[in-house]
Amino acid sequence: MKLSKYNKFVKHNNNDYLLFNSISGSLIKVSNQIKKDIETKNLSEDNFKKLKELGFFKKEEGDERATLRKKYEAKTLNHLNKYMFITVTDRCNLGCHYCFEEKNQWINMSDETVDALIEFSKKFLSATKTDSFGIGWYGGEPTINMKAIKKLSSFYKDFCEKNDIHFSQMIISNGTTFNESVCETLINLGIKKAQITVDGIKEDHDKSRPYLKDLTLDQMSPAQRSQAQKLNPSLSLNVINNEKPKENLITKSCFDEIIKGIEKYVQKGGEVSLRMNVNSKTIEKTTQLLDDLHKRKLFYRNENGGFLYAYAQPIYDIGSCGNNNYESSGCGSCPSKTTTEDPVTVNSMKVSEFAEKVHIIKDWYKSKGIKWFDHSNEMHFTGDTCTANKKYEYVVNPDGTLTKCTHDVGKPEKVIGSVFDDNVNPDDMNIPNTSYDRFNPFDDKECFGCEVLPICMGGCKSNNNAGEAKEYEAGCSTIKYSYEEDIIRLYESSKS
Amino acid sequence: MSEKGDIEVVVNGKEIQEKLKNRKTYGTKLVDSGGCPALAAEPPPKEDQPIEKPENLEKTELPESE
Repeated sequence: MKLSKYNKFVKHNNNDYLLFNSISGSLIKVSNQIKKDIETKNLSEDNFKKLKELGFFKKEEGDERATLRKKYEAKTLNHLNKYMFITVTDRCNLGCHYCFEEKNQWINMSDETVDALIEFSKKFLSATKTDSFGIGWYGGEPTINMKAIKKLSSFYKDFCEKNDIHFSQMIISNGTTFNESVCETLINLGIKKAQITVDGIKEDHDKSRPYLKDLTLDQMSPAQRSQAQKLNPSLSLNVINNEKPKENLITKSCFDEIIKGIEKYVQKGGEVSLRMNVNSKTIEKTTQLLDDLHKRKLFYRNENGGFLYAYAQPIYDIGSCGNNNYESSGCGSCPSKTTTEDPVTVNSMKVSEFAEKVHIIKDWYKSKGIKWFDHSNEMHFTGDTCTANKKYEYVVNPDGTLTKCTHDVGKPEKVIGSVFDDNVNPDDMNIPNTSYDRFNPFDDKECFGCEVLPICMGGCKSNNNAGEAKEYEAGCSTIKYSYEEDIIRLYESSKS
Repeated sequence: MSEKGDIEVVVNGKEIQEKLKNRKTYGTKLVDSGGCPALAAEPPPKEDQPIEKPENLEKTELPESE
């Protein structure tokens, strides 16, 4: 027997060590002496057997990474669990300066496209055995096209029931449209899970994530002006630059509207994953936001099962810089990030910087006795990867074209097919013309040697530009930079 | 009990792998989503969320009656 390559000792206190294995997810606490015995394999038969069962020892022959690779590659071809992001519109009512979407179609998914998607889905779900099917409703702002969501969701629910397929759905929304009627409809359709985003406290959010129609041109950052042009292509930069400031039209706070919408949805039984976009300045203030949400009692599961959970993500600005060398990895990792005037972008973070500061939020959760839920709760190997590398997962664009990543909505060069293509065979359709095909973390020198590979499986394939932009960090999981701390947190949360 | 001290099992990976075999859908966070921030967006399991109890909530200052 030999020790697993994915064992990690972390000193816990003066006398004890934690030993974690990132494949099995096993965590043990041992004395300094036992640590030495493990390292020298000087163990009793019982302890040897115990540690082997927990995954800390492997058979002498063979390379465990070859086994992982085999399982990873099998997962990319797994047809039992299928998934689609359905972009029912690329229209949006907000003008976030860092938005990565091209918004070049600027259409709602039409009735004709909805019908074609239904026919495509029948083939997609029947051509190979399907145990589960998941949908992420996506946009633009998806609630702008509730008509398409209603028709498609009803179809999938009915189809999956008849074919004994476990069906689940969630929505990624900006939350500004969550009025009584929208919340009621979503819940009735079974869309009880939503991701909604705020950019920190009200003051910061309303600056970086505004209703563009409420801003005067002189209030917009250069990036927001660029967004304004997408929202209204007839605007020209010359006109913008020469236009006199208009009267301030701000009538309502985007932040307040979102919080009101969240409260309605949660009260009806909605489960909200609140994404708090942060930069190096605003992350310090997230506890104010968390305190506010806590006072509103949103963290506690109510009588209808609704609750809110908040987590943080660093902002990567990939829309405004124009420096193509760094486009795919985002301004958060761009050495020339100070070239943009936008204060939020200037303060954006690398993943390693984020990993250093995110303890602020973890500590807040600990102080309130609420379980922190991120990768540290699932620190083990599954072999799963994302839509980009999985054969049976697609992103459907508003015009019916198909791409492999939500980052590629509206990018013609990333299209791999269409729901209108009569000849398309969903069983055979793979990703022959996308860069994601080139990236296998087990072929990548850096990923192959990384101690968290069993957990992250190479990270975000878009942000690391299919392995070619990894030096800019944006594709890596934060766990790479907080591994020891996460192991200690796993120990503490398991003991509490 | 060993003279050199115990091996305290805090997380049993064998049990995790058994649970994974029975899981029909994605997990909810980064691991199963292969690093995809969109897939990772799903809320955590409902059963992991605390239920509203008076001791969980901060005391609300009530105005004194006149």
